Amino acid sequence: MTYTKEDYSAQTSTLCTGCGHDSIINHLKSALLDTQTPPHQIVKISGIGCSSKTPAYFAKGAYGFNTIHGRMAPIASGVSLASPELKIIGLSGDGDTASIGLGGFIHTLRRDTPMLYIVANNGVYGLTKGQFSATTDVGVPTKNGFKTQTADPIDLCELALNLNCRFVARSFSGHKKQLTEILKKALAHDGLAFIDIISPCVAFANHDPSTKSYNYVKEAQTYMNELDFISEETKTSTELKLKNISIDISDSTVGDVINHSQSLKKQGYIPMGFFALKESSTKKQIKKTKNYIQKEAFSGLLNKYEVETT
Amino acid sequence: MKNFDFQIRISTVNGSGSSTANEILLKCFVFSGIHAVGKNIFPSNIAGLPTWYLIRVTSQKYEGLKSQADLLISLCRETLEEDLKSLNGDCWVAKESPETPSFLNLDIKNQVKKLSVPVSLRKPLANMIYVGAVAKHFGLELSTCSHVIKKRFQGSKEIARLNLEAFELGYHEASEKFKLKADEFTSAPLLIDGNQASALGLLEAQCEFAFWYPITPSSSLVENFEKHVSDLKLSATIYQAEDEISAVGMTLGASWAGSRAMTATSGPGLSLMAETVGLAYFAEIPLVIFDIQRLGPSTGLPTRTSQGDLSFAHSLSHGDTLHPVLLPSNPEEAFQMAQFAFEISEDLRTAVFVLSDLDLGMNLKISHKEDFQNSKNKASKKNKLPALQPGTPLGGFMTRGSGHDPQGNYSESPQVYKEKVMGLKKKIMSYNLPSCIFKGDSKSSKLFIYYGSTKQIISELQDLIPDNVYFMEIKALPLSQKDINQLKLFTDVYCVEQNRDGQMAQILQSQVQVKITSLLQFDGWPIQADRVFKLYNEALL
Ligand SMILES: Cc1ncc(C[n+]2csc(CCOP(=O)(O)OP(=O)(O)O)c2C)c(N)n1
Ligand code: SF4
Ligand SMILES: [Mg+2]
Repeated sequence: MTYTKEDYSAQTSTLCTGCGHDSIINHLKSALLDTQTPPHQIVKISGIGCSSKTPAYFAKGAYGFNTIHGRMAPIASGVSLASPELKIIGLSGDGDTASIGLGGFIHTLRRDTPMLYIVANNGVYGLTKGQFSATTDVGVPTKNGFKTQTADPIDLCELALNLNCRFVARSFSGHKKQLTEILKKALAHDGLAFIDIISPCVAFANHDPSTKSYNYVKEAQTYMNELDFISEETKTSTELKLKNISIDISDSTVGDVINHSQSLKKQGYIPMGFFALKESSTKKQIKKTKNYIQKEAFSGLLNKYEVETT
Repeated sequence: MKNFDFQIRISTVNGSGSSTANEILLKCFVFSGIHAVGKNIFPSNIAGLPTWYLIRVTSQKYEGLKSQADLLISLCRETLEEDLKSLNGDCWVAKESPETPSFLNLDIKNQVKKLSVPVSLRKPLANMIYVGAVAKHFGLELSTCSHVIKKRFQGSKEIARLNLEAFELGYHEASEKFKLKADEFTSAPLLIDGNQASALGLLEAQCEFAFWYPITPSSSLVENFEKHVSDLKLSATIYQAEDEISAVGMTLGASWAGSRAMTATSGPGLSLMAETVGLAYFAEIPLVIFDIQRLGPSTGLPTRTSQGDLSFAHSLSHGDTLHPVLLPSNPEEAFQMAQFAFEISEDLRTAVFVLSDLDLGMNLKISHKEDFQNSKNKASKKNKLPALQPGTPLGGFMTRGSGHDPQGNYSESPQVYKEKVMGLKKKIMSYNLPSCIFKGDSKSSKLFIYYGSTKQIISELQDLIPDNVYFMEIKALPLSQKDINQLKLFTDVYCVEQNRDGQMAQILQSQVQVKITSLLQFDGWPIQADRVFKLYNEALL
């Protein structure tokens, strides 16, 4: 049986026209169609936010769970343990993951819960109408101009890298080709695949100084893709040229992915593509069980247990 | 001695190994055929703060403590003054000082030097000296006691020998003042606490997942479960989450996917779980939570007991909610209700609480093996999986905590919302939860209501109160209409509980027009019949 485009469709989106989140879902549908992921084996799980409304917009035959703000990750961890055979797609926002849900996010990375974890990152709280998120860059004002962000942003990709996540990528909702490829790879990954997707909010963060606006992202995005793996050829030199940036790779070995996002960011670029991509893991995921092996344990147990008779 | 009632108060410093010794003393009584209860009053600290152990032995088989002690063993100078205030009899002090009266002299400090052991072992062994002395004081047989000691240290013959030696030092030093009459056993006593019992209940219920975050006094519930699962090589998963928000989230996720999962916590953790519990309620997902209550708001007195979470748990989370709350009153019920909880939450697809407390959860009680075995037929077997589990072909659905119609479609319709919340209430109110137990004189106009661990004082209270009274033991909330109707028949109603504001009385009064006089003990000490009786007399004035 082949699944068709129709199988990955669902109700019409209620997000603002032009919202990046809708594009992400379109690319996700393509990736699911291409990989022929059986809809009934998909769990779509989200927190709260505009980005978290998206489970309703794709794969109607899948199992969806729109939970509460910031708790997608731990709830998905429980689902994954109970049903390890299912393909879990977590959909979250920058508020949902980088602020209220940061603790659960970090610990889910540590658990390496097998799932595709998407953050639709617009640098703003969309659903509550435009407040800062923890990924809003320094110097960016709110749309109404009342406030300017002064605190350093959290880079979720770097956080994931620090926690040895084996699959870390950043992409842009508007980049169909790159994002679809990344999503397909992520769907095949055996652990937690984290993707930070810049996803402009046309209502509250598409104004000029925003670093998550369509204009800004189109100009500043820097694709790291192929360049980012140390290949036999690149290893022959100790320096890698990327656009006009030089990266020291003397410490790297073949197969490594270079994390040069810091140097790119300093120059105003948004590094995109894979940050980490390791297929096999030495990491131990939590023991998964499905069936309780019933043993005639009980009477035996009480004997083992403390029973004292005189 | 045929009729007796003695309370022994042992005050020590925690971390000195006294809890092992005290447990042995309790067992020496129990396995000598003497009814005994033991309560550990310990600090929230690892070593160096005062700690008490109280043992009460009664011919009446009372389950609770009384306020005065008949014998004090003081190994803690710091609390001596306070300890003497609650003393009605003899006192043995380990460390004498000029200003403290020494009624009986038990020179533990010098006695322990007689043992040829390294200095480091003297401290724990010193405890065994008073155990021996108390055993002799009450006329316990040496053979029974040595059996208990050998059994306790069955892993090491040498340790058993040393402990026995120390025990005998005290035993021979003291003289027999009383000879308590022992009972014949009809069945072997089993000493078990509520948390151990609930852990057994989880096994019986075939619980597949336990997600938790350590907190006194609930930790030992999950730790016991984990130990059994590992000893028996079962495939259940026990996972220590990063906090209670995640612990309950993971529990909910596993339940949503169709597994039997639970979490256990205490007050502070329960506060963190509130939002997720509302999700389970509104999105109709089974969820089982054990709350082993401790005392106070905030951190409070984390190692003291309380029934202070009743109203909070019953309506946890914002908005209009209502959760079934099971109220185990002893280890047998802690065992059974662990199983009922899954059954109820799967039947109703809602959050269910098992509300135990520190006193019930962490103090050993005399039970019998049979009480933990005959549940096979009654017990819930995992047979009520959700009709549709994620992964089933052609069955996709959306579960959401935002407004939704019966098909799960997003909805903000006032009518749809109203029908939803009324339906949620109806399904819980019309379910057959464990009903109340009534006993005593049904013709009396006086009704005494109690629940949970408060049950331990009821037989004694019945003996203390001169009037004929009727008792109503609440096993679960919300009450059935039948039980509410019973309640309506009484004009003189009292409710005994362990919280400041009479939470159960408030809940009942919101359903029935009845005046309830609350009799409340809420200082963290295990509830005592004589204190409640005093409150009753004051209420009569
Ligand atoms: C506990 C809690 N606090 C606050 C809110 C209000 N709230 C809803 S969505 C949201 C922020 C969403 O931001 P983000 O995750 O970035 O999603 P976006 O709408 O930008 O896609 C907040 C604060 C809530 N639902 N729950
Ligand atoms: S408010 Fe922003 S994030 Fe929300 S739907 Fe509109 S554009 Fe998208
Ligand atoms: Mg956002």
